[in-house]
Amino acid sequence: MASGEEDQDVFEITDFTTASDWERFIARIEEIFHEWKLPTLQQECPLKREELTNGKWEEACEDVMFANFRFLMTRYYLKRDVEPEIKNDELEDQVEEVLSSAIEDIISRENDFPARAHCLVRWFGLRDFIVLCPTVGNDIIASENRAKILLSSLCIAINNTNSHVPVFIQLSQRSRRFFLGICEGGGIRTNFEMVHLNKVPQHCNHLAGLLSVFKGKLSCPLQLIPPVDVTIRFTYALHEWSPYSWPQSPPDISDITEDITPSLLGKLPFGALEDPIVELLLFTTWPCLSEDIVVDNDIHSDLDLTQAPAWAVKVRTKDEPACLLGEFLEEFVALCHRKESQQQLLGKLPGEEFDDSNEISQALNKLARPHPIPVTLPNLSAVVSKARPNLHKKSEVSLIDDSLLDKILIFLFPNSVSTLTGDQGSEKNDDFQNCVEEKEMLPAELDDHIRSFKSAPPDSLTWRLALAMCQVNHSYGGIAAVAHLWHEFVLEMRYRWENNFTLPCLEWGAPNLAYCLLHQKLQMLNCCIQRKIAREWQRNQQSFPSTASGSAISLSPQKTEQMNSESEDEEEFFECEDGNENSEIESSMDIDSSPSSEVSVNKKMQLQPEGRLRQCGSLTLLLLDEPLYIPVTQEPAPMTEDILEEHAEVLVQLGTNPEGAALRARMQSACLTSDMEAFKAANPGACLEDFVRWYSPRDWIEEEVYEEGTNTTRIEGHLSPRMQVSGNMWQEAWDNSRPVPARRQKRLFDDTKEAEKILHFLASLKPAMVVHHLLPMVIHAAILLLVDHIPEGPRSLSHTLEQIAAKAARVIRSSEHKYEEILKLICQAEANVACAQSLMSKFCQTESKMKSGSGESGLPQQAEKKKSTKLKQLGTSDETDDDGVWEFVLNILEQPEVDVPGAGKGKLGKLLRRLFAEAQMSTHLEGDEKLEFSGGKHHHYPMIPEFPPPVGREFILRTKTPRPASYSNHSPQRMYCVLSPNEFRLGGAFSEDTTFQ
Amino acid sequence: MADTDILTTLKILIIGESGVGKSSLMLRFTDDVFDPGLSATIGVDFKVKVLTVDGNRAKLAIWDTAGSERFRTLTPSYYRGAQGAILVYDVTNRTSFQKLDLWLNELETYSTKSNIVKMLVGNKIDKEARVVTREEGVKYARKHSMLFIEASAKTRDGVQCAFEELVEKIIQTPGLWETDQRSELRLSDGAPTQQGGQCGGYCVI
Repeated sequence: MASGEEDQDVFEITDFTTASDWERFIARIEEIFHEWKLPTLQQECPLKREELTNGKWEEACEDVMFANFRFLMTRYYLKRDVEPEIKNDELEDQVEEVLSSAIEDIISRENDFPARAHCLVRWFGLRDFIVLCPTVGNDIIASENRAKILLSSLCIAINNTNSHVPVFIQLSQRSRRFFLGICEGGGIRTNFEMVHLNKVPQHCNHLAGLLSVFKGKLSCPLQLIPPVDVTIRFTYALHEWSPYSWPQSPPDISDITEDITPSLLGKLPFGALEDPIVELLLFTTWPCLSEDIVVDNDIHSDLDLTQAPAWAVKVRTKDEPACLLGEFLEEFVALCHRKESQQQLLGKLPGEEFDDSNEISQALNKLARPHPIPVTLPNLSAVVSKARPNLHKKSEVSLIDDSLLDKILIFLFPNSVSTLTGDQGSEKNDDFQNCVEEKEMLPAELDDHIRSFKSAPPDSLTWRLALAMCQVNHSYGGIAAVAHLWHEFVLEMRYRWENNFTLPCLEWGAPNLAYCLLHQKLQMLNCCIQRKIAREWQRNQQSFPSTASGSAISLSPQKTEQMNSESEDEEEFFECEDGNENSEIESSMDIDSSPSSEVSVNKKMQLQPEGRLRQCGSLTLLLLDEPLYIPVTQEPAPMTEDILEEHAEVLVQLGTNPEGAALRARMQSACLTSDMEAFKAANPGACLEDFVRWYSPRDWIEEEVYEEGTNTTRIEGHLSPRMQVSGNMWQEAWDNSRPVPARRQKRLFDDTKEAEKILHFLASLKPAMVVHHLLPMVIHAAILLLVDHIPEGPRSLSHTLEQIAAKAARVIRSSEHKYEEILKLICQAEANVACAQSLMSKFCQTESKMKSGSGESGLPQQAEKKKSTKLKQLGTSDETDDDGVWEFVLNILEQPEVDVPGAGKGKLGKLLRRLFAEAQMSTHLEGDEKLEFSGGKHHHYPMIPEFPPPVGREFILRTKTPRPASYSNHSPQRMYCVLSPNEFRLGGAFSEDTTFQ
Repeated sequence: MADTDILTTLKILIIGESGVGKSSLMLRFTDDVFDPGLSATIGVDFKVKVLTVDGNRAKLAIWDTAGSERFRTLTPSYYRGAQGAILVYDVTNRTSFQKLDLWLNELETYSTKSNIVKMLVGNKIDKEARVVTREEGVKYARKHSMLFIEASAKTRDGVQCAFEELVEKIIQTPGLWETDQRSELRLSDGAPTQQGGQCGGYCVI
């Protein structure tokens, strides 16, 4: 197949029918080599320092069959930014002369021990290589026979295609990472060989032994062998953190039940439950020594790690440490998929019966006591406990216990308590308004995203409910508890509606469409309650005219509360008429007067203006010489977004033809008609022109008219042409409207109906839907919580949060809510912060111990304090007095491996030594606290080494020798060795001259 | 339905002072008519038109709002989800030009899309008694980064062009009209991805 490419232009039948499986296998490999354009690969410039770690690696994959045995061939290569110079065709012909870059790589010193790389890269320093291995699920290559066949096949393919990229086969189990390989090019063949054992053989347990293995293998024909170049790295692991207890103690849940406080309920927990740091690895490196200046044999070793010229640190963290916030959120989000209804969870609810009896008693109360506003607010928990016995009887599920429920409800409705102790309810609300105003200092980008969340303002009722639900779900019984609390919440909503108590912690006014639907609904309910209060107050005023004008200023506490917190728009309903003469008429008036009686009254009304708000500038009526008054008007109906959408939908449905447009205008003219009626009532004898002058001044056109007779100019006004068109909407509406002041008009906003709709909406929500509606607030709170931790988190946290927030904003707004992904991101961010905190506390505690000069166990508290102040300082301003520790911690979190400046002698080096020493102490002498460590110099107990034995020792041996004969060209040789307690591996790359053999 | 080849549906708002010709502009664009006796809009009105810009067919849902002050409490609720807004003033009426600030502010407050495309239209250029110069309009539009055109609903000048420009701009604005799924793809690139296939870390032991 591949050879067909070469013979493309020759008319010659190539017959593959007789080809064996083996031939086909080789042909396929060649084909892939051609596909990857390996034969024409040019020599690249040498690798730069650390390029193998920092560069971008790419992969290409192909399937290869040998009979019916499937292999996977994968090419790993470093994507170089610098394009190799395109060589001219002349050179193309002498491809043989091009040296494989592998030849160069194996003796390059710039990329020893890359922090993150494929193992073959680490062992042989390669930038481009191919691995052939059986696909997963296939047999492994275990026999030497098979290995030889594979290697030979590769060798044939390499030679046929002139490919210079090293090719490896993987033998044995994947986990053993046992590779053999071959590379040819530029007259040099390199064999990659390997030894892999579980135990380190005695004679290889030191550099001297390894050197003799290396030299033996080279079997150099020269008398004088060039010195071998040695690079050494020892790795030490630190797992023992016991002197530095993990600062986050898991919250004791039984404790919380006892003293659960509003502040606890209003917060999401944060932090890791376990130390997210698994181990700290210290790498000590001696780069590029000559074999004759370092002694390391079975008797003596020069390799003292404290003297090593380069130190580096890496930290291994738990993949998914148990974190409080993540756990809370996960459990809460999981509820979204539950199907149970409220009833299934709580048994048959007593809601209806309770409400009925309640309503009756309320109604009786109202009859018995004409003043509809109770002097004191009944205790919330009393009401709740009235309901609860029923509940307990009927449900089998474990529910939130009473005292806890009371606490939660008090947290949700703070003003129900304060009203009992005094009239502070309004203050609460004012506080809330203030705290909404407060702007936190957030990075602008992040702030933008958070602003666009469709949730609720922090600390609002909806917000509190969401957090309380989260808490209840986590600690007090899962979905059943959520259902229970929701049930209580809905009961409370109904109670408040029926008894005229506004909801706390919500901004006043029409629903803010920027917030989530649930919040809008609650705001709407609040609107309804306010209108109801106003309505009843007004009715009350009318039935007791004596109090109307006199006591209007000093109203009941409830009223004062309203006045305080509400903007003037609500006042119109409380407005007292200026003249006392009105009150008489009002009192005689039936509120729900039928149209016919209204008409009869109209005649009387012609002379009696009513419902005036104020004078409209200096305007006077056109026909009479009376000032023009702006009437008190009805507020337009507040709408939540779902109602608004329905509304818009209806408007759209009417179509785009003129009839539809007219119908649309008529549907929306209720407000116009209402305003006209109020205007007529306030300005008896007014005409449409007067109305237009107030309502749509641009439709009143004034012109100077020059009168010839008197030689004067006077101003003459007339309606705009569009208003003059006969039979236009406005004219029609004006003609059909009667003078009725706003307060006696049919309500534009039927608060009773709307409130019932909302209460029904709330009551019919399944717990899963409740959770669904509350999630935006929970996510919002979680992100704000993370924002608080930006100063203690890794540098990237702020950027990460931006991404999370952007994503969250989109998910919250989209129709399908995929919270899981956001959850994952939040958990990750939390774990990252926990890592930073953990590392910082470990380093800072050690540092303070070193400064105080003693390691007494009484100190940790002090150290803790110091740490926290330190963290605070860091949070406020990036001070430099942290001596680079913080910097170092941040680097560890960001980079795979971080160099320790000054190695073992620097400040950080000393800190690390101290950490290791203390860990050693605690493993060797548990419980003995009198012992002291004062660094490496003065060991009181010299038998305890400062460092544990290394978990790994790596050696790279390199040289250039002529092989196989003394007259051969010098070719690079390399052997990589790893010695660890349970592994011994030698990886050799031995080259030989293929020309002068 | 013939809607299958429609790229997207766009919501366009027309706002501005009372009597500047908002409804007339809309009717000129959708039905190519001009009615000097068009009555003052009550609440909001609504028209649909399919427009082809650069080969993309877009369905425009145009919401015409009442300019009268008293309706101003109602109409902003229809601003939700609009991708484009046409702010209209009357070149023969300075007050309508001066009130633009207020309308911009309104738009800022109630529109749910932060990158909504705004176009300023100076209407009634057929009239002789012009008081707002073209330069003033240009200056204002530049200051508030809007598109600008002068038009006359009566003579049809600039009307078609105004809507086409606006739609073109909306389609060019990333993230404004695409579905959520599309922007999903765009953002996930930012997440750090582990280099696959390489054994991370200390892979020697």
